[in-house]
Amino acid sequence: MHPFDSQLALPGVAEATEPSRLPRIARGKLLPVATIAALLLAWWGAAHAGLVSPLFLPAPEAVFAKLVTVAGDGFVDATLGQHLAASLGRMLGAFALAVATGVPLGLAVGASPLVRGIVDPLIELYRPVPPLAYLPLMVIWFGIGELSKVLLIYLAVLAPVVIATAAGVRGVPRDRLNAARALGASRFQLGHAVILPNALPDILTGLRIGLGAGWSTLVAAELVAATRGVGFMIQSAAQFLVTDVVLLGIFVIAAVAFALDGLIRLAQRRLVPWQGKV
Amino acid sequence: MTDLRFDQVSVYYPGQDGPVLDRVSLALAPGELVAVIGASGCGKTTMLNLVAGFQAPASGRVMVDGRDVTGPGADRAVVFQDDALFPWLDTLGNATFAARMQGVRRVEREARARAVLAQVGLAGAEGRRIWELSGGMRQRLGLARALVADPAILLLDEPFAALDALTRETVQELLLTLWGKSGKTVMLVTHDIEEALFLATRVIVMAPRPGRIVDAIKADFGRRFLAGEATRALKSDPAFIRLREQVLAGVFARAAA
Repeated sequence: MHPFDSQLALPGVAEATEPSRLPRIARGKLLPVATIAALLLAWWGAAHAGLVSPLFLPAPEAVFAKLVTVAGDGFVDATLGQHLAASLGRMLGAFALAVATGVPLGLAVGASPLVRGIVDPLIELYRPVPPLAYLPLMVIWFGIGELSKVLLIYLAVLAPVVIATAAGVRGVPRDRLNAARALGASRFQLGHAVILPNALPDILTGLRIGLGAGWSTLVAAELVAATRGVGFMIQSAAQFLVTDVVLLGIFVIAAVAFALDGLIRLAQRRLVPWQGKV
Repeated sequence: MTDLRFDQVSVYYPGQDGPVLDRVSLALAPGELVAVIGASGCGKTTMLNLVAGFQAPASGRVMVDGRDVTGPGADRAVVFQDDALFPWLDTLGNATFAARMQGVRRVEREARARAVLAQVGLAGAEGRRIWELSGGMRQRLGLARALVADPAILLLDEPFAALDALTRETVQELLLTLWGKSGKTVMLVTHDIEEALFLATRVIVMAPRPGRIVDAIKADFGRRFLAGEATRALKSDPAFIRLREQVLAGVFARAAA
């Protein structure tokens, strides 16, 4: 044994190696899964120990059982699938509309100081206002039907998409543009062969942020005026103090948000594999 | 075979007192490989940008084959220091870019690009993404991408500055080989005196404030390399060392002044 090896046994040295072990576990899936398992266990324990009335906190298995009945028999005149379809329909409709208009608008804002001067103040004016604050106005103008909801979500998605797209256009490295010009690219060719692909990572980031903003706005919109939708389902259940359906609704909303975000992240990996690498 | 002229060219940048380039005149003969060297701020990259058409002179003329440069074009391809490759394209896609902009048919442009990639030693790497390439390979691809455009003049803006010494030397040798084969007019901007002397037929020494040409030194080490002499032998040749010290003294004296 080397004489200096004994130093490794010093408490200070042993402690110094400790922090490097935890991040390695944390980096994996273990810690997040353990956190959620602990939360479920605490919930299960609290519900079964009789600490809280089932009226306020139904047991996990009761909520799961409710998932089966609501999926099959429905709640307030619609099955879970129909509520979800209504919510997703509004969301995806508004999202598609926001992508179809927001990306070209963002490209124009990024490319033209004139368009930027006109559009920027409009977006900066409404963007910081919580959508729920102008929802009443939308209802007054467009009624309580689908239009006001879709428009509300549309506005929530539009701002991040336009801002991110414009930033992507303006963020093209000068050398990359000059290289393309010195390789014979015309102004028009620069647009689709360099600026657009260069802005793609930013555009997808904007879509991801927009999707999150839209989904949270949607649920809020359904709380106010709707006859179908996951947000409406939660609101109705709350009025009758059907807490298990409220919890179920929250979980469904969280799961859908997680899935939608996963889809965008998948698209990012597929479409812009160079992001963060160059 | 294309010639290049700077005629009494001056450039000013807003906010700077004094010109970046002050009435600079220089002529490159067809097929010449000229290196422009000098301390930072001497305007050497500005000279290159003028030829590329990225910027215009305040006064004087920049002419290629007797015609004024009015903007960028594929007849003057540029290789940049940080390669400026397109990450959304693979190696072959980057190499074919210029031909694609010219509207060359896919089969034809890919054949052209594959031939040039083979010349720069990138055969077999066609499908690689550019972040999978080493620094040396990326710079070779930068060269290949410019060569596929078949420019009359090749402009190199400190292209090897970010490479390690060994890689830099092999890419320098590659550049000489390609130049020897193609006979293109080449303008190289560098701050590496050895590189300038080894590659160029003429080294233009510039000084800052105001940016101007202070010396021009003829060299033939590149041609001797092409004639078969070894790189290390050339770079340790007494004539090489004497010229290197002469240029170094000139650059330092002006930078200190």
